[in-house]
Amino acid sequence: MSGCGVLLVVLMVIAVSVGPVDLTPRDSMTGLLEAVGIGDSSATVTEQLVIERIRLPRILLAMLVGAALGISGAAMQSLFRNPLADPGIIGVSSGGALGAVIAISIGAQAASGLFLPLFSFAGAFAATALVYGIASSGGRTSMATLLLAGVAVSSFLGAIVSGIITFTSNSDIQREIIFWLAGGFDSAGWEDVQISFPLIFAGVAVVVANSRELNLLMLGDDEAASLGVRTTATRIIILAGATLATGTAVAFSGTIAFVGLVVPHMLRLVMGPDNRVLLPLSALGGAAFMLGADTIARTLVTPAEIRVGIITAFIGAPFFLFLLARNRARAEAL
Amino acid sequence: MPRIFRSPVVAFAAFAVFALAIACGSEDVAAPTPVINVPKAEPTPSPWAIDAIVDPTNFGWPRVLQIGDDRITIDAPPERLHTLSLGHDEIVVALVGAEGLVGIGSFTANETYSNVASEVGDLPKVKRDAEEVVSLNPDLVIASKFTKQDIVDAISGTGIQVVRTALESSGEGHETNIRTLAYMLGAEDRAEDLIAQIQSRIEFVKSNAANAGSPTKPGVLSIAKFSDSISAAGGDSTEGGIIEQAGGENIAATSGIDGHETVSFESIIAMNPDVIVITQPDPGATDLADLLKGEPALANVPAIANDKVMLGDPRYFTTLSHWNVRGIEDLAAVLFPEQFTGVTFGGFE
Repeated sequence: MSGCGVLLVVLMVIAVSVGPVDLTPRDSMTGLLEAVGIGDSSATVTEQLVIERIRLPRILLAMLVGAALGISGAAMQSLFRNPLADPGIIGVSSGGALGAVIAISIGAQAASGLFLPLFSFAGAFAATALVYGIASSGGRTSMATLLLAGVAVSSFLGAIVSGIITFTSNSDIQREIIFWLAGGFDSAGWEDVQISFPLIFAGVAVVVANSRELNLLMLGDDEAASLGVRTTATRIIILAGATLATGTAVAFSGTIAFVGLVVPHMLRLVMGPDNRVLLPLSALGGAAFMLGADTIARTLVTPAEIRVGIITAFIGAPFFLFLLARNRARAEAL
Repeated sequence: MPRIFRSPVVAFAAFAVFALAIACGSEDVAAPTPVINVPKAEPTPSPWAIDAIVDPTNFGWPRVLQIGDDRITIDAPPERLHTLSLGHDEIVVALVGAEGLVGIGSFTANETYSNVASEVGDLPKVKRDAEEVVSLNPDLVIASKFTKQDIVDAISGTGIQVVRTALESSGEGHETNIRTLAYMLGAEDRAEDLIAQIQSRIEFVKSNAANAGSPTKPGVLSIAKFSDSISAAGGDSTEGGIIEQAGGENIAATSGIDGHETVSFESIIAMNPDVIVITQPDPGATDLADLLKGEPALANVPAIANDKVMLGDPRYFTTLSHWNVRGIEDLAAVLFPEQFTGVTFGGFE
């Protein structure tokens, strides 16, 4: 865990130091320290503003979103006992995307910059509630049904999003939607960090607080119940925490794939499946992964930027294929 | 000797004949004469001798064009024309009027982006869909380089002639665009008139910009914002062509950006433009301008410090037709305000 923390700090320092505006190592270090209230910066006024108003909020937002997606992915994989589960499996990402698309289509975003994350957040929660409602019957929730309902609802909401793009006659709105769906941290500011931090922190804290119970749930409902776990309530709490974290992430960054799917697997290979370690580590690992990906996205072809989702997919997809090949080799060996 | 040969007249005549015979028979006469070098007149190339026109002397019908690998024969002036791009529509309307079109796309009817929206309002509107285009029963369809090949194939598969022409954004490119389309439509006279206007206006801008005497070209950045992303126009873009013809330097192209790519506030600081042109419509354009001016980190960027953030009319900056000339004029007036004091720019006659 401390290794992941050190990695995160190192990545932060690197991220602050690189970008289209050239900063000397001294300027970036003293600038970062001044930004946190330590000492005076040797950077110029503009360079200091670049560090404080452009790079730092972007770095922090990328870390928050990465943490949210990483821990939510790990929680979903444990909860559903399915290695293919990701944070969006219960419709959170699709619901958040639909909420954002509606906000853009009706011009709410133009009225206030906060409406878009608000609509996205509402969409994420509404989709999750719908999925949960479909999967629940007589006070019981079937995880298998939850999974299937999540896939179906995600596909349905995705189709609605595609339909809105297709049928809107306003080309400017079409472009706005397509750019939002691509995801990224281009215009991250301190307001985004201030709003998303408490929500993501709360969601992460809820999930981490239930890591022991999640371990027991993985043994099966009967075993968990016999060990004192309130299975239904625990599932609802974990789902709510993951939805809160993921919904907030989607609201502020759009849909970014692979982080929640791949990071838990990477860490599980090293640390094992114990959720008491895996969940907080997935948060840290997700933060580091997203920060690294965003730093590459904004510096690889500077001054232009690549969509961060391209970088996460570029790294995540080959790793996923590696996992599949490794699992198949193991199965054949048995 | 006979008595006749003793006459002086006869003697003189005989001598003359003798001298004449010697002169005509001799090859060694080398009387010096002055040599004047008259330069051989070079034939003036026809302005219609462009790559697309196979025989620039043929103004009858049928006419043959070579566009890329395609050899196209047009048997008669088209009477039911449809194009698949706004730029083509604007040029066609300038050459033959809206009556030449049987239908338009949604962009052409959009007053925010189209310079001919008011002229084509009554025409049927169709999507860029093969079936809808075929339903118009056109006798010629003109596609752009961005039109999907499967749409072109689907339309041409019904027997309708489809020609794909690329529209270029340079000064020479506008002339080529107009001549190519005019040749297809039989509108050569109108083309000459329009080209003369374009050349005159561009020359006016160039000479005034040169008179500014600036040692370096002002750096210009063209941007638009979609959702949270800012897109900059780099090399090989319509906006880039406008910037260069207005006398500016496309700072995004110089920085390595090709086409349209996403940039950040930090990228804008790094590129350090003297002028920023926002090419999207309002209210987004004003919002973006306010956002740039309100960001403390951008305060020292020359374009913002000197209040040189221009709201470009999307009709002139995003189309690809002769209407780009209006964009060139508007931008030049911002780059070199002293050279264009009291000058107002209008449409095309």
